[in-house]
Amino acid sequence: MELDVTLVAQATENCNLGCDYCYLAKKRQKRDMNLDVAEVLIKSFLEHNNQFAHFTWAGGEPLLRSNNFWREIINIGKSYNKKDLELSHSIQTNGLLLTKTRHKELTDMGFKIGSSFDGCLELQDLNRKSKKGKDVGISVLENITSLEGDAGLISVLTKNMVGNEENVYKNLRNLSQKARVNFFVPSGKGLENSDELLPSKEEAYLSMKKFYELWKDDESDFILNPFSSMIRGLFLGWVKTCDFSSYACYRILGANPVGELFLCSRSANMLDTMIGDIKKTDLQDTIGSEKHQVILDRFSKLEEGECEGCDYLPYCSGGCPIEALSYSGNFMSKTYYCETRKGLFDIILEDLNTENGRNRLQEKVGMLE
Amino acid sequence: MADGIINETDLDVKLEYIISKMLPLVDLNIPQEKMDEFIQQRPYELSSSPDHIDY
Repeated sequence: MELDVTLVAQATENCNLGCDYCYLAKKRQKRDMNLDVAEVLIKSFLEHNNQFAHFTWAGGEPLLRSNNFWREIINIGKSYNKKDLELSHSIQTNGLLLTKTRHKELTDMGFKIGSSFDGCLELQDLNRKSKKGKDVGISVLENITSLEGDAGLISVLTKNMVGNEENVYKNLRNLSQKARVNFFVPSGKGLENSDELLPSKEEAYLSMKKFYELWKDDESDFILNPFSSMIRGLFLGWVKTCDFSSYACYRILGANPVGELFLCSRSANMLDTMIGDIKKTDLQDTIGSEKHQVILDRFSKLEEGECEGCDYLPYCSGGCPIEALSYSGNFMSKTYYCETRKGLFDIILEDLNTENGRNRLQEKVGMLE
Repeated sequence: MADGIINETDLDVKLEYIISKMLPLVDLNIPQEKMDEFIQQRPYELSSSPDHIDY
């Protein structure tokens, strides 16, 4: 079975922030990806895929790289797109350098832009200070505000966010057309701070439930995930987001600045999850290799073990394996947030099982006839 | 076949097994043609990139 695979690559390990929950270790190498490595990566994925090729550029902070670098990334993609695939590039930034001018320059080149923002200034300054420990949330907020909704936003559900849902929701909706509240993954520096940051399972459930209810009752077109994806998944048979699906997770690889390939960009600091090196190994030999297949093996292992009999396994896949590895030390175990997710699926299903509720949610996720 | 690659059939079996589990839990009251359209849309989304939410 030939499947198109996408890439999330670290354009740099350097960063201008020192976030408490960074997935990278505080002490780490600070390498930039050079264009030779980027060229081999882009060329390899374009040659492997048959319908589309998508590249997400992350870091570190990718906007520390110059516009000349990003222009070359676009040019390399165009020059190797011999099969005329649907080709797209995204940049995921922390927002500090995302001025309106920079945003326009990058979107004019063809990039889609997503930014992290923790939903309100207080939380942003609590979790995402500058590398030197200064509050820079106001600059990030000003940048995002100037974009008038043009950048998707990601917030992280930490213990500090619990109880602030209404304020966070209102801000995300006002600042963007689409946002995501992600579960906190305690890895890298975040693992060191997990006692302070990791909400209990009950806290996470109640907080996510509150977000879901705020979104459900909202008459606007604002898209909030993971809820929109979860609902679509219950209609379609699977949730397409990588942290809810082994099938999606299998199809997204990570690369560090020197072209080493990992099961996920989140695990680019975990050597156990390294599956290849684009400079030494043909991508065809990495995709589908024994090391890569562990993502698929995990699904079966969970089905026979921890998740046996769970109706939600096809829609959850036991959660993000990198989160499981970071938190429990076992890649094959289910997510810390298992009960939280089950609770959310339960309340969504409850709504979907009434005609009014189903019609309402069907409309909200854009799945009307 | 390069070192480290399992028999491709094994890989296909694993993928097809997971795909076989993809069954709607809630019926969507729309024609099958429209349903197929939704299924064929972008096959996955990144949790780390909200721009993929554009269905």
